[in-house]
Formats: sequence, structure tokens, C-alpha cells
Amino acid sequence: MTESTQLLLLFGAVMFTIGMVGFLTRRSIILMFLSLEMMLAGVSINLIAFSKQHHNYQGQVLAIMVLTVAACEAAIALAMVVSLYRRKATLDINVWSDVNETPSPPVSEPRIVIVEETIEYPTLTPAGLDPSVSPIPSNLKPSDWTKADDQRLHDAEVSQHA
Amino acid sequence: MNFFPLAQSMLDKVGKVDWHLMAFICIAFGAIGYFSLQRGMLKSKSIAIVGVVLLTGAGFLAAITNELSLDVCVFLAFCGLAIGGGIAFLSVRQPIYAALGFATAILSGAGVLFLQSATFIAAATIIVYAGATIIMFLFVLMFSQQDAPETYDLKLTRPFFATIIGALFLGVLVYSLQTAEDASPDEWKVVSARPLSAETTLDTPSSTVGLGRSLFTEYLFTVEIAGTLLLAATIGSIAVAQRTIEVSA
Amino acid sequence: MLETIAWLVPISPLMGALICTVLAICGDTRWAHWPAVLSLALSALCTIGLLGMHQAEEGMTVLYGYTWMDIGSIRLDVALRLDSLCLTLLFVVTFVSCLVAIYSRDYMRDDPGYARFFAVFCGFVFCMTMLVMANNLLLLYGFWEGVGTCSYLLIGYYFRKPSAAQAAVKAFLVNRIADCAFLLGIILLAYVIGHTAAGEAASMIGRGQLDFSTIHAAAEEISRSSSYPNLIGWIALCFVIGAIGKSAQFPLHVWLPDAMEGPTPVSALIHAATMVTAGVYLMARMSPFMVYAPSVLLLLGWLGGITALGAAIMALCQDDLKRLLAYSTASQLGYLFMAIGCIAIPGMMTLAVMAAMFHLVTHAFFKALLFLSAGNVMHAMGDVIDMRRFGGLRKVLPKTNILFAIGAAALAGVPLFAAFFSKDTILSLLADASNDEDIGIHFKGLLAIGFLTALLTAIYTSKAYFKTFLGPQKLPVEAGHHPHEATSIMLLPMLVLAVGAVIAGGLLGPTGWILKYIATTPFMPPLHGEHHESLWVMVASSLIAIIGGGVGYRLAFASGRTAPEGSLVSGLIHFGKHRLYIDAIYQALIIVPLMWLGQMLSSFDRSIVDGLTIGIGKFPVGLGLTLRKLQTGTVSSYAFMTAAGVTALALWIVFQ
Repeated sequence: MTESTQLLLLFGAVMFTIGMVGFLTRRSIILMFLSLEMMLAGVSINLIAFSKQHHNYQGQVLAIMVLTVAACEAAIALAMVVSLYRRKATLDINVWSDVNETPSPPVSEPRIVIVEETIEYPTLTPAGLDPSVSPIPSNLKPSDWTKADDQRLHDAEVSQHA
Repeated sequence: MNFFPLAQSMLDKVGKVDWHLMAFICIAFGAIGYFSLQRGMLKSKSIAIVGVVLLTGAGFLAAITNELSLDVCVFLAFCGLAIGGGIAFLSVRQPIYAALGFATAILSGAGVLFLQSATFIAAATIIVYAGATIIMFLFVLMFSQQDAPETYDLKLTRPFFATIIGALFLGVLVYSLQTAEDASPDEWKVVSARPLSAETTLDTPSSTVGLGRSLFTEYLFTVEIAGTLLLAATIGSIAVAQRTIEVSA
Repeated sequence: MLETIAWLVPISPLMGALICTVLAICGDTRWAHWPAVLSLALSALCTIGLLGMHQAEEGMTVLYGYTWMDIGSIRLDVALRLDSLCLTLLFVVTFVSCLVAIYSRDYMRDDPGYARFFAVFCGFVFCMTMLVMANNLLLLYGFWEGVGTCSYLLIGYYFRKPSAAQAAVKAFLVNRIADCAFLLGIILLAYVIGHTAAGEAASMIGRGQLDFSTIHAAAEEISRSSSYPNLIGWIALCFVIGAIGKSAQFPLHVWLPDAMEGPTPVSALIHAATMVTAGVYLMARMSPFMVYAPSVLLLLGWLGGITALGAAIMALCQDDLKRLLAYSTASQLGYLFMAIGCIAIPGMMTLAVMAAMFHLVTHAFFKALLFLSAGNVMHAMGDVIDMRRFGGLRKVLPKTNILFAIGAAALAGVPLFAAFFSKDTILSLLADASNDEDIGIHFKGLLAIGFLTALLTAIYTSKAYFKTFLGPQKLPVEAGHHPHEATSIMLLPMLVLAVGAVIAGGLLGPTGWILKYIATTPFMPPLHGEHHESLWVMVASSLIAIIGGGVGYRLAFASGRTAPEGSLVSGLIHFGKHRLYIDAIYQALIIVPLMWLGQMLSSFDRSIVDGLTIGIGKFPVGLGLTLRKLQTGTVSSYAFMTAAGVTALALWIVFQ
């Protein structure tokens, strides 16, 4: 077995293992099927590696068949996922556990809510007045501004910062 | 089971194995898998970026010092990208992001396949996996999960045991890779109706020609069966996904 | 003719038993005595006929019934053997049983188990007669067990009373121990007869291996055989153990006092006259064989002596009249075994057997009479038999008074009554034996025991009589308004027995009639010369009887003064009341450990053996329950199991 073949086979093994771990860990049906597809991809990489080593097309033909079967399986799997989703409105795999020996009451899991971190950015004190509380109407033109308006503005600012 | 000869055979095989590589692979996989599975990558984006940068730099250094040829470098880069995508697929909490990680892994795998002169297979992989399958899965995800990630995405099933099983399995595979004995060259050759000619060897980019010829001459039956299978799957998926028709009184 | 009459003797009580069983199943309580009494009367008449027809000079007659077993070298027949030894005891058995049956017609009247009583009674008589007439040691053993069983059934007649049931079981178990030893002796004897040249030669004489003729003929060869040097001694020891169990000698005497729980006729017949004499009869039958084991015979003599003295002491301290009579029976049987022990001296075999049989006959008469009188007293006093609770009954029970006096006089050895002669025969036999050079010293000791026992016998007998019948009248509450004398049906058999008690001694002894009669038994060595009874023994025993009577008179009316506390006498009285603590020792040493062992084994069986069995049964269930938990129904766990399995398989393949 040549070095390159070994490296390729190692790569294929890693892909397969990642797919296996993903299948074991994930609880969403879609992601479980995706990890199945990843396992199949790893297998086809192995097949191509052997095809390269043996200098014939057997591995490649088998890889095409693997691809075909993967496609068929994906189609039917998705149809099944759609009909399952219609029944229970969730993609959790653990709701489908009726055929068992130790029936336990359904455990309702608390819904995990991700609280977005609100970052308190440092703020500056506002230089001016909040327009919604300004005593001066906003449609006042600057040419119509009087001194009394200045005084009222100043008083409002002072009282705001008090 | 008699344990003594088992231990004896194990000890015999020990000498052939590169223990360092094996240990490194297993432990690395175990650690990455465990921590990524536990913590997810929601909070470790920065660590991931730093890690990727470091690995790339290490890769370049290795390439420069060890005089690796370009194709090996590319191959290793694609491998790394594929594995990174796989790890992301394992650990990311948002399902859409996980699907994207999957797509990355598949595309990088296709790149590896291109390097092995399996051009047709690589293209087919991209089209089928990273194209059709991913799009279908994304559609289903999109219409079934409208808002934030659900509970079943956020909590994984027994990550510790899964990591251990994965590490053990990977260790067994690596071990068997290193200790496998080569079969004799005579067993490799396939009795084929059509002898392989020089221009259709796999080392050239035009192996597609030879593949096509081989498919439609030697493996014609297989191709037809594959087509029938696809047809059956199509009809089957339509049948499975149908709504039940309610008869109103 | 002879054959018919001989077979009729056992068969007619058997028929009576079967008819009474049918009546018992039907629940009869009025007519069951007719088949019983008639069959027993027929049996007694046939015995008298046999006595007349069997010519003493012929020796013995063997009447062959049918072949019981003929397997390889073992051949056993059911056959009857008639000789003078057998006929003597047969006469006693049938005669006394007929009289007691007549008595119990009125005694057991209105008892719900009336028919059952007579059925087992007749069954007992059948077994006893067959035991006496058996030609064959194993056949004798079979009926030995039979009388034991009938005794158990009769002691436990009032089975709803716990003490009666326990007494029956005790009697049966103690007899069982003795019977095991007896059977062991029979097996050893059969083996040695079948496998030695002696046996081969001897089997030519008798038809079967265990016939008495065969045994007697083979005895000398066995005693001198070199391949089994001491075997005859061991076989004799086994027979001795069997005899002392049945005849209630030390150390297997513990069942006899408790056997008084049965009805009084049962005590009269079985535990006075017939069953307890079976041991003596066995020894007499086997005497030509036992002659070759003198040390065992000496042991038997000493056991008899110990029993005689111990039982007399215990009887002295008793308040219960029936128990007193039971201890007195054991004591008199001790006399019989002391006589049998004299066989150890060569040349005295015939005399010893004759003396034993003589005393056996007289003892049967007067002891049955005493028991039946006690039954009368019990009946009149409303089932109270504790002597402290009644007294001065001579006016209430005048006829019983006279009959009891006759019996008591006979027992105490008052001159010219029955036991005077028979007891004197035994005592003079012992005196003769003590003149022997080698082992005479033993018989001197036995003679002293014999005199002492005679004194004690006189004391307690007269004390019982005077206390019960003379003195101020005292009636217990249970007696009712007017205690009445026994009916004439009950008194008539007692009268016959009283006549026998008076004249049997004089008729048989001094005339030498029984001596000549017994001497005609085959295999008895012929007598050499005449045998005179020594005069000093007669005088001594008369004096003892009179002195004992006086002491008893004093003791009967000295009820006001009790012995001072802590003195030797009160200690002895205490010991005597508690049966010399022998029962307590047996309980502590034997019974309690055995019951503990039984409980240990039972709990072992329940916990470990049953636990193992049930555990094996529960194991598949547990395994199944454990494996059930694998079916969780979730895809994730199934996937885990698959992955783990694949990994394990891969590991195994790679590392194989």
C-alpha cells in the first residue's frame, strides 16, 4: 500500500468517523440524514483511493453506484421526514419512541432560549435636548427664533440635567 | 476466548504500527470532538479562526522545510478543509450552519477526488451531494424551523460516549491501515473484457473517457439497474409524501 | 387335625380383627365385642387342644405354610413350630387376652372408638401368636414389628389427648431403636450362615436359612469359626438390644411408664402379660445360640438387675397407681433377664429357661389381675388414679378389694401364692450360679439385687394396697355421688385370673411339672440329676415379704410426716419421682441435638436447595428483564448499540 493511498484511506476514515459521530450525537432528523450522507462520502473516497491504487475503474464504478443509492435514499428520506413532520410538527427524533419495553411518560423538555447578550456600550451625555421634549416646536424656523425661546431652551436643558 | 495468544498476536503487531501517528490522530479527534461537541462553536469562533490560521501557517512551514510538491500540499489543504467542515458540521448548533459545514466538507472531498483523477466522480459528487441533497435538506429545514434553534439542536445525545466510540473506531481503522499486508499484484487485475490501454489510465485527466467506456460495456447492467432504482425512488418518494385524502361525509 | 387347630390359633384373631375393622368403618359401638371375644375364645380353646394333642416327648412339630422367599441362597418359609416353650407362652397369651377382652367389653362401653379398640386388640393377638409360633427368625421379627405397631395404636387410643399421642410415639421410637439392632443381628446371622461351611452343613437340617433348627445347629460352628472370631458375640449383643427394647429394660425402659396413657385393658394385656415378655421369649428361643456368648449374657443379666432395682426405687416414689404397676412390671422383667443371664454358666441353660418361663407365666396372671383391679378403681373414681386423692375403698369396692389383695400378695411374694414359687426359683437359680468358679461373683451381686428388689417390691405393693383400700374413706370429687363396684362381666375374668394367681405357682413349680415340660424343647441339653430348691432362699424370701408388708403398712398411714428437707431420703424420693432423671438425660443428650440437626437440615433444604432451584428458575426471567431494557424505542440508543457493536467487532477482528 503506497503512502498516498494510505493518506487517502486515512482521510476517508476520518470523514466516515465524523459522519458516524454526527449520526450518534444529533437529534434533528435532517442533520442525522446529513451525517449519513457524509458517511457515504467517506466510503466513496475510499473506493476512489483503491481504484487509484489498482489502476482500474472498478472503484469508480462502485462509487457511482454509491452516489446513485445515496441520491435515492435522500429522496425517500426527505419524503419520510416531511410526512413525519406533518404528524408531530417537530424534527426531534426522540418523539418517535412508542415501540419500546419500558414506556415512560413523555418528558417535556424545557425550551432552551438563547438570550442574546446585550452589550452595554458606554454612552455620552447628550449634548442637546431630546427633540420629543423640547419646548420649542420643531417646525420653528431659525429666523423666527427669539431670545425668549433661547431662555426657555436653556431652562429646559438645565432642568433635564438636574 | 484464550487471552494469551491474543495478547501475543497484539504484541507482534505492535512493532509494525506507527504509534505516534495513531495516538496523535485518536487523541486529536477525541479532544476536538469532545470539546466541540460540548461547547459548540457559538462561543469559540475566535478560537477557530486562530486555530485555522495557525494550522495554515504550520502547513506552509512544513511545506517549505520538507520540500513537499504542490499536489501534496493542495491535497493536504483540501483534507484540512474537509475535516474542518466536518468538525463544524458536528458541533455547530444552528442547523443551517451545520448544513453549510457539510457542504464545505463535500466540496473539499470533491476537490480531493479531482486530484485522484476521478473527475467524473468529483463532478457527480458536487452535483448530487453538494447540489441536490443539500438544497433539498435546506428547503426542509427552512419550512420546518422558522425561528431560533430548537431544543433538539442545542442538546446533543451522549456526546462523551459518541466521542469515545468514534475515537476507538478511528483507532481501529488507522491501525488496520498500518498493519495491512499487501495483496499480491496478481489479485488486483480485474478480468475485463476490454484490456486497459495506455491512454485510458487513471493518471491522465481524461479518465472520464475510459470510465464511460467501461460503464457502458462492462457494467451496463449495473447502469440500467441504477436507473431503475432511481425511478423507483422517485415514485416512492411521491407516494410516501402524499397527504392522506380525507373523505368528507 | 393338628395342623388345622394350629393354624386356627393365629387365624381366628385375624378374622376377628378384620370383622371389627369393618365394624369400625361402619361406626359401630355396640356389637364389636362379639367377633373379638368369640375369636379370642376360639383361639384359646385351640391352644388348649394343642396342649393336649402335642405329645411332649415328640420334641417339636413344624407345620409348613407356604414359601415366603426363595431367592438365591436365601430361603424363608412361613411355618409354625410347636414345641413346649412355644405352647407355654401361647397358652398365657391366648388365655389372658380372652379374659381381658371380656373385661373390656364393659370397660370400654360407650366409647366412640369401641370397634377400633377391638380391631387392634385382635390384630395384636394375631401378631403375638404368630410371633410365638414362628419357625423362622425373620418371621418372628416381622411380627415383632407387628406387635410394636399394635401397641402404638393402642397406647395412642385416646389420640386426641396430646400426652397419649406423644407416649405412643415415644414407645414406637424407642422400640424402633431396639428393632434396628435386632435386624442388624438377623442380617449378620443370615450372612454368616449363608457363607460359612457351618451354614452349608446346617441347612441340610432345616429347610431355610433362618429357621431356628438351622441356627441352633450352626451356632457352635460359628462360635469356633476362625474367619469371624467374635461375630457370635456381636450378633448376640444385637439380639440383646432388641430384647431389652421390647421388654423395657435399662436403658430403653423409658417408654413403659408413659405407655400407661392407653386404656387399662391395654396395659393389662400388652404391657404386663404379653408384649413385654416377647423379649424374654426371644432370649429363650435363641438360648442354644446365646450359650456361646457368655459375656453378652452376663451383660444382659446385669442390665436386668439394674432395671429391677431402679424400677423398684422409682415405683416406691410413685403416686399414680398405674405407673406404679408399670414400674413393677419392669422390675419383674428384670428378674426374668437375670434368670436368662444364668445361661452364661454352662449346664444351667435348661434351668434358667425354665425359671424364666415359670415366672413369666405367674407374672402374667397376677399382673393382669392387678391392672384390671386398678381399672376398676379408676372406673369407680371417675378416671382418677392418683393414690393421694382416694383411700379406704374397701367398702365401696369390696370385691375389687379382695382381688387386688390376692394380686398384691402374689406380687409381694407372700408364701404359697404364685410368685412365691417362681421368684424363689429364680433366686435359688442365682444362688446356684454364684457358686461357679469363673463368673460366680457376678451372680452373687445379682442375688443381692434380687433380694433387695424383693424387699422393695413388698414395700411398695403393700403400701399401694393399704393406702388404696384400708384406712379412712376418702373419695375424689370426680367420683360422683355413688361410686359403684364393677359389673359382673368385668369381675368374672378377674376371678379366673385370681384363681390362676393363687394356684399356678403351686401347681407348676414344686411339682416339677414345668421343669420337665420345658426340658423337652429340642436343643435343650438334658438335665443332670434332680434339682432341689435351697431352703434358705425360701425362708429368706418369706421373711422379706413379711417385713416388707409391715414397712408398707407403716408408710401407707404415715402420710402426715414427710421426710425432712435436704436429707438423703427426700433426695432419693425426689430422684425417684423424676424417674431418676434418665428421661431428662435422654432429652438433653439425644433428642435436643437431633431436633436441632433436623431443623438445621430443614432450613438448609429450604434456603439453599430450594433457593438454588428457584434461583435457576428465576435466572432466565431476570436475564429477560435485563435484556428488555435494551429495547428503548429511540433511534439514538439503537444507533449507539450498532456503533458500539461494530467497533467491538472491528477491534476483535483486527486484534485476533
